[in-house]
Amino acid sequence: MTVALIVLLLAVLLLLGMPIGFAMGLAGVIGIYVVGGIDTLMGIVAVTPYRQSASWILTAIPLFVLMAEMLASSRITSDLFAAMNKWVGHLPGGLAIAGVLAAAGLGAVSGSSTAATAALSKSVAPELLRAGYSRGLAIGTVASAGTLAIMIPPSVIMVIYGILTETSVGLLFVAGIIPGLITVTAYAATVVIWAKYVPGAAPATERHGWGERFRALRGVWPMMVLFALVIGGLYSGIVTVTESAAVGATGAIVLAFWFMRAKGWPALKEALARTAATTAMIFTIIIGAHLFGYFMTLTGSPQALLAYVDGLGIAPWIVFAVMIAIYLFLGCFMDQLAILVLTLPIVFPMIVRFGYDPIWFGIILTKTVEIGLITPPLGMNCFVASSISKIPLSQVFRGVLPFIGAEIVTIALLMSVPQIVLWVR
Amino acid sequence: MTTDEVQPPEGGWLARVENLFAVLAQWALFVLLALVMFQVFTRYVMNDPFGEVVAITETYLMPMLVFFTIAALQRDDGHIRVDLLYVNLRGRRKQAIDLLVFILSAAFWVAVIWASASEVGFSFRLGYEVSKDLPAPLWTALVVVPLGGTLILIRLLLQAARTAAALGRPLPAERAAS
Repeated sequence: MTVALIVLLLAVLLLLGMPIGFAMGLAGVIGIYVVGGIDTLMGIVAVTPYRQSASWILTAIPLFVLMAEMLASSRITSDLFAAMNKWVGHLPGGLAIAGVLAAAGLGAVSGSSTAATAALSKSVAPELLRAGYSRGLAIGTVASAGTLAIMIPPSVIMVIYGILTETSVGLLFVAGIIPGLITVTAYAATVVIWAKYVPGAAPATERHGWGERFRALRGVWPMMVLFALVIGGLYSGIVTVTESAAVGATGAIVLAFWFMRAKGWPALKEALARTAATTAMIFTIIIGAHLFGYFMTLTGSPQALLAYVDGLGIAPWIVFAVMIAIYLFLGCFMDQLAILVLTLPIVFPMIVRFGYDPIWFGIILTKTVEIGLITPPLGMNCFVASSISKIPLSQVFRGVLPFIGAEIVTIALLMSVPQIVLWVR
Repeated sequence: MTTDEVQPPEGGWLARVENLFAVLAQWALFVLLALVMFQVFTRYVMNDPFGEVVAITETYLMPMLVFFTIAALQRDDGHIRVDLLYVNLRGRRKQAIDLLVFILSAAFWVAVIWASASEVGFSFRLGYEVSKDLPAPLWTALVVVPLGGTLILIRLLLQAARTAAALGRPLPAERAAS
């Protein structure tokens, strides 16, 4: 009864528009007081906010965000885009495919989808529109391709999942590479089909010679080195998650200064400010989620729910499929980070109990987050793309629809062929 | 979190303090990056890890980064919320709900400040130290939570007071009609 009332209170607070971290924190504080009394409450609230922020492993979050912010503000996206266009420009919708590949390249050195979408909206979208691409195809490509940053490692969402579930972040990163490449292929195929079958969606294409193609790669090698340093170092076990994030952030700062010269300082100042704000926002939610999690633990409700689902005798794969459907549904209406921290304390024990692999589940969950970033009515990437490109939100949502279809096919593939992810084991 | 007719102040002492704290947080982030890179260097090049880096980073810099930014973030409406219903609210209803949310958010921070300040006092009285690597008084690290918490509490109370005042005044549409 207490659990139901507190969960109802949380739902009301969230619907009233209270910041998610505060709402979870307040509901947790009231719940802990009701269940454990004032001494338990004081004991937990006295140390939780500090302990959740005072964490060595969590330093990876601000460092990966800083890396993304620095790269997004540099000329790197435009260089990548130009290079990729030389390679795939001759395909139907070639310039848009180059945009997808540039997003994949940016994703390989950046873990923030919002920062990547902002960078793509500034550099790729205007080029597509100027070249004569339809608004729907141009902005749909940019908003969708921005999500690649959270599947292709490094990924802030994977770091948070890894920390909340005590799963290896290094393995998650490596496991995300093939699903990320499959998503790139699915997006590129969507562009080709769109360009081929919708008249006027894409202009005529242009073929570039091999010499020109290889010369264009000269501008992108620093990113390849950065990716190899961050992911290679982490996977080989040479560096820790925090150290690889620091190496990545430092590399991104060096690259930004190299590309932007004197403009590097204002970019660094701005990136530090945006990173601090993003970090505070993420940690407020993590702190609130932990307070709420303590309340749930005190009541023993995750175990009770587990026993209940066990008792229903439903096949685990059906429970899993329903769970993913719920995640996709929630992703339409709620912030992705909030969904993760709200549900993982309850869902993760169930996943482990049913014998599913935490790495595989982490990748599937990251995929649902990716989809949630472009589904209406609250697709964050669509908001970012719309506000920067000044294209109406309704047009952006129409533009991403075919890409959502490609995402659904990809997640179905990942769910039915777990080996795509589990080869890392 | 803004309300109709309620604009975040451009200046004022509170905004200046919030900005100062936010700049300190940004410096904490920069120093954090420098220290981790320094540790990477000492560990891999000199084969001698500098243990104090972990202690300084997790004990001081990370909490500073978080708790010194939250007040400015609240002022700039940067905390994420589920705005499914909220975006459709207008006029008096929106002001009333904003007021309620500001007060409830303030209540949460009162609980955090109260509990964390008692932990600071406890650690001060018993003379706890951070760690063997860093023999500094622990309270100097713990105090970051009540400090940042107090700043966001003042911001929330100010926002609540302004919203309450706005509730007492006629809306622009009502003024135009009269």
